[in-house]
Amino acid sequence: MSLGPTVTTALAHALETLVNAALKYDPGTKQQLLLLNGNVLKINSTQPSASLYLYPVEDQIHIYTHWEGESAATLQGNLVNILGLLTNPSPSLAASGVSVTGKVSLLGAYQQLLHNLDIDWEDALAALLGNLPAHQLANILRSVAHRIKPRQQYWPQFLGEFITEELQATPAKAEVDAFNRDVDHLRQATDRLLARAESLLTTHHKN
Amino acid sequence: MSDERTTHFGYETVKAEEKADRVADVFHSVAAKYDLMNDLMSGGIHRLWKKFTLELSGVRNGNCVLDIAGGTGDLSAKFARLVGTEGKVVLADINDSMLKVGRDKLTDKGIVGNVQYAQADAQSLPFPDNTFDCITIAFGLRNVTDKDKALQSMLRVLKPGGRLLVLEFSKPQNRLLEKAYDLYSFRLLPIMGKLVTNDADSYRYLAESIRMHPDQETLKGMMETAGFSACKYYNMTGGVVAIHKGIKA
Repeated sequence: MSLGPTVTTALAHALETLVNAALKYDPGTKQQLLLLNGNVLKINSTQPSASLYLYPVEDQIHIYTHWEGESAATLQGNLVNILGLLTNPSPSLAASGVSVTGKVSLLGAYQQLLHNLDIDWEDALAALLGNLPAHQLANILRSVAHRIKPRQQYWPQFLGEFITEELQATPAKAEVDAFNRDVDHLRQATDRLLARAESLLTTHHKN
Repeated sequence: MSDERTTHFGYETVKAEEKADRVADVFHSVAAKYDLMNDLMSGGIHRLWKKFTLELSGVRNGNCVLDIAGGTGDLSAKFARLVGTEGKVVLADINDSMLKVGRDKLTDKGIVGNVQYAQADAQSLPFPDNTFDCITIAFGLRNVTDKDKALQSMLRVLKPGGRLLVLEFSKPQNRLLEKAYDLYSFRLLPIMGKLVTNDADSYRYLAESIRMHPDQETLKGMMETAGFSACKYYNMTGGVVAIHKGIKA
C-alpha cells in the first residue's frame, strides 16, 4: 500500500530529527560520522515494502525516501532482519537473511557507530530542565536502573509464570508436553491399527 | 483600441508590466512575518514539501545551486549544508525585503561563506550560461509574469544534466479535498492574514494566484516546451502542492 510522499517524508523527517537529536549528545559518534561523509546507505526493506537512504553530511545524518544517483551500499531484506543486523553486537551476515551490495565496509562502519553510541542523557535533560535538576534526576534514574538491572535476567521467567499460573491464559509447558506425548501415542496406535487392518484384509483376499 | 498585453494578478486582470510591482507590494508587506505565516497556514507541512524537494534535488558536496524566489532562505539554508565549503548556493529573489529577511536569518544561523545573495528577476537571470547543477523555485513561479520566459532563463543557466525543481501550489486531485481547500483558502487564510499581519488582501491574492496557476500537466508541458527533458511531477498532500522536475539535456 502506497503511503504517498507526504506521509513517507513525514516519517523520514521524524526519524531524522530523532537520530540527529541523539547524535547531538554524543560528540564521539559525531566525529566518527565525519568518516562516512557523503556515503549513502540504502535500506531496501522487502517487508514492509519501503526504501530509506541514510546520507551522512558532516556531523548529521539525513534520512531520505528518495535519492538521485548511486548508493555506496544497499541492504536488502526484511526490516526486522536489517535492524537485527545493524544492532547485533556479534553480527553474522550469512545467517541474517539480509543481502548486501556495494561497499560492505560501510555496513561495518554503521554497525560500529551504533555499538559505540554513548548518548549523554544528562546533558540532554539539562537542555530541558537546567543543570542542577537534570543532575539530580539523572542520579535518581541511575539508582533505579542499578536496582532493576540485576533482576532483568529473570523478567522473561517472571512474565511466563504470571501468564501461565496467575492469568492461566496459556497452559504450562509441562501440560503442553504431556498433551503432545498423548497425541504421539494416539498417532502411533492409529498407525498400528491401520497396518493391522490392511494386513488382515490382504490375508482375507488371498484366502 | 489599445494593444496592451495583460495578465492576471489573482482574479484581477492587470497590464503585464504592472504585475511585478503589484506582487512586489504583496511581498514587501508580508516579508517580516512570512515564515510565521507559512507555519500557521500549512500547519508546518511546508517543511515536508521542502524536504521532499531537497531529496529530489540530489544536491551533494561541491554542487552549485540557485534558489530562485528563495525569499527567507529555508531551502538555501539546507542546501548550504549539503554543498559544503566547496560548493555554492545563490539565494535570489526579486524582492529586496524578502532577500534582507533571508540574508539576516542565514547570517544569524551562522550560514556564511558558501551563500551569495542576488536580487534578480527569474525572467532574466543575471548569470552566465551553464552555471548551476540545480535550480529550485519554491512557491515563486506563480508570481512570475511570463512563466515561459522564466523557464527558458532557468534552462540557460543550468549546466547540462542539471536539474530544475519547481515546488508550487497546484490542483487537488480529489473533489472533496478541492472543496475543503477552497473553503480554507478563501475564508480562513484572509482572516489569518488580517490577524497576524494586518493584511487580508495579500492572503486573498495568495489564494487567487494559486487558482490561476497552471495545473500539473500544463506546467509539465510548459517545461517541455521550454526545452527541459525527462519532465515529471510528484503530487503531495493530495495535489495541493506539486513538485515538478526537469533536466537540461
